[in-house]
Amino acid sequence: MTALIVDDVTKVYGSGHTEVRALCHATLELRDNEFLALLGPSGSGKTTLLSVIGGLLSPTEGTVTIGETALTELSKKEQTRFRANRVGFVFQGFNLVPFLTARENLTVMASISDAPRAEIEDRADQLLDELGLTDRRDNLPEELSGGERQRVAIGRALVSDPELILVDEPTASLDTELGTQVVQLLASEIKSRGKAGIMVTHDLRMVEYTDRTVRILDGELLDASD
Amino acid sequence: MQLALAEIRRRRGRWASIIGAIAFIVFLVLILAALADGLFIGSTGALRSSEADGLVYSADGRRSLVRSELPIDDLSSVAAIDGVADAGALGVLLATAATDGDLFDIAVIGHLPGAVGEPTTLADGRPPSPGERHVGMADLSLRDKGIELGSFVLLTGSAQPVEVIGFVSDARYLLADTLWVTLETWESLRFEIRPETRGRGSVAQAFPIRIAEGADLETVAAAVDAALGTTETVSTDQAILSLPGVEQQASTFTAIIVVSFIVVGIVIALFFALITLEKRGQLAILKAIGSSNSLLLRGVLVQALIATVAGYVLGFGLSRLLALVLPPAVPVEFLAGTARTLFLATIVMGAVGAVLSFRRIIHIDPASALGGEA
Repeated sequence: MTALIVDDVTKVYGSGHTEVRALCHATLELRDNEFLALLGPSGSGKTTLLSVIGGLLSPTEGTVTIGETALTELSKKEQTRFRANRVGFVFQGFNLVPFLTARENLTVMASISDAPRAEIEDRADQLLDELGLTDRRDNLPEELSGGERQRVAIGRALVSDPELILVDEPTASLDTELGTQVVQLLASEIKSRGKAGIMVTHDLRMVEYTDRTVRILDGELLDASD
Repeated sequence: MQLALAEIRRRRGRWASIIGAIAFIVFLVLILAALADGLFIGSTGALRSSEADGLVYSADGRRSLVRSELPIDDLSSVAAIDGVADAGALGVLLATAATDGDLFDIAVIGHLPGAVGEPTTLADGRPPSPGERHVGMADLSLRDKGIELGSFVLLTGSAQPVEVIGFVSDARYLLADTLWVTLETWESLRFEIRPETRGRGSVAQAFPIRIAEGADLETVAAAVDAALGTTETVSTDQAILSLPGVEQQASTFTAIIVVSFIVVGIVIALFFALITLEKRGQLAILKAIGSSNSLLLRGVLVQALIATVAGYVLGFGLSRLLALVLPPAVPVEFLAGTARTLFLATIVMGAVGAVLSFRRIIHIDPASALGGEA
């Protein structure tokens, strides 16, 4: 099944002399159970594409469809709700809520998504176990190591059982060894659940853990390789 | 809600500082309000405790019990006016009294026993009977000066001691303790202490009136003034506000209290503006993962509510602690009604302060969560 269709998406910032074309006619498809690497240097438009796919930015032209839902047709409010229930995010630099424990950083999704609290709590405990964080569940982010924080962030992205996981530079603040472990873990968690995932990275070494790589340069998707 | 509560629980130092700031302002406001209420109650008890609907003054008395003077013979004319259900007489004599060698200011108030104008707040003993001389009811505050039932109060310049046969509560006049005697006793004490008042015949200084059921006070007042020609009849509320300094005190304290509440709002607004600025990245992340604006704004409101309620409770406790150590001479009165009003005002100002940060939260762009900006 097709999990995501990005159809001829263009994103332009500013106008006239200040116009910046961040995305040019980008077209992309992603299947269920597929983990894709979006590879490009800084300023290539990969974050803009991830933002448009996640409903955080509206494209100037083109459409984004996730599952059966045309995301670009939804209102801002509906897009927010859609993200809460059907898109998981893993941000660069962990970005956990600093005053919530590891477990609470996952269960906070019970207040945000429409899933019943008991369901979120059960899934949070199961994820913490799978991610090897059961002993650290009551620790605050400042008490966790970099790798543990990133694992909590992965857990938060998965806890509401979304169909698409968007990952932004997961290795940016980790050393190579830890970065590799985190990406391996991400790939295994996404694949084992049959989800679709897109990982933005500029680190060529990480693409081997994904099913496919798409390169982006100056807002254009250059090639796709299996 | 989980987020809002966890933030307070785990960032105790920060929230303690805002709660402390609110508590300090609430403490100041409660003390100011208690002083305002204390001054008002201490100044106006004599008029409030009579439960009169209005007071008739001489026109040239300009609503002052001390300046006004009315021939006692006019009382029957007032009582006979249509709509007047009951009419009494009041006279005030500001004097100095002594007990056990201690001197203190006292207001001796003459009244007609059984008629309107007599305090309705009897707390102990009995009121003087009509015509009974040299006995009186003391305000309960005189107990602090060692006066009991059966004590004699001797006014400076008088040879006639007045025996205390009863106590009334909340019947002070312009912060002076009061002694309520019959109009005859008042007159004889006045002649003794203010000899210049002799020879003016029997007078009262105001006629308190109670109007008949269904009658309109303004109409009755106009009828009284028209019939007597030399009077000004006002409602008891107007008479209270005309007491020297009462209205000015009330408006001064109200202004200070209102300004203090504006400060509560500003403190909360600044606090939330600062923490919103600091949490920009975190709020962007929460929005990106699907938190709606309304969820985040509800959290801010809940936090403002908790901070203001906790600040109020702390400020309230501090004000009561201070009340325990204040000397009795400081006229503070902590009224439940005032505490309730100030509680609501604190909550409202907290909410207003929090609402001012809403625009800032709404404008945080969830897209800034990606690309390492957050």
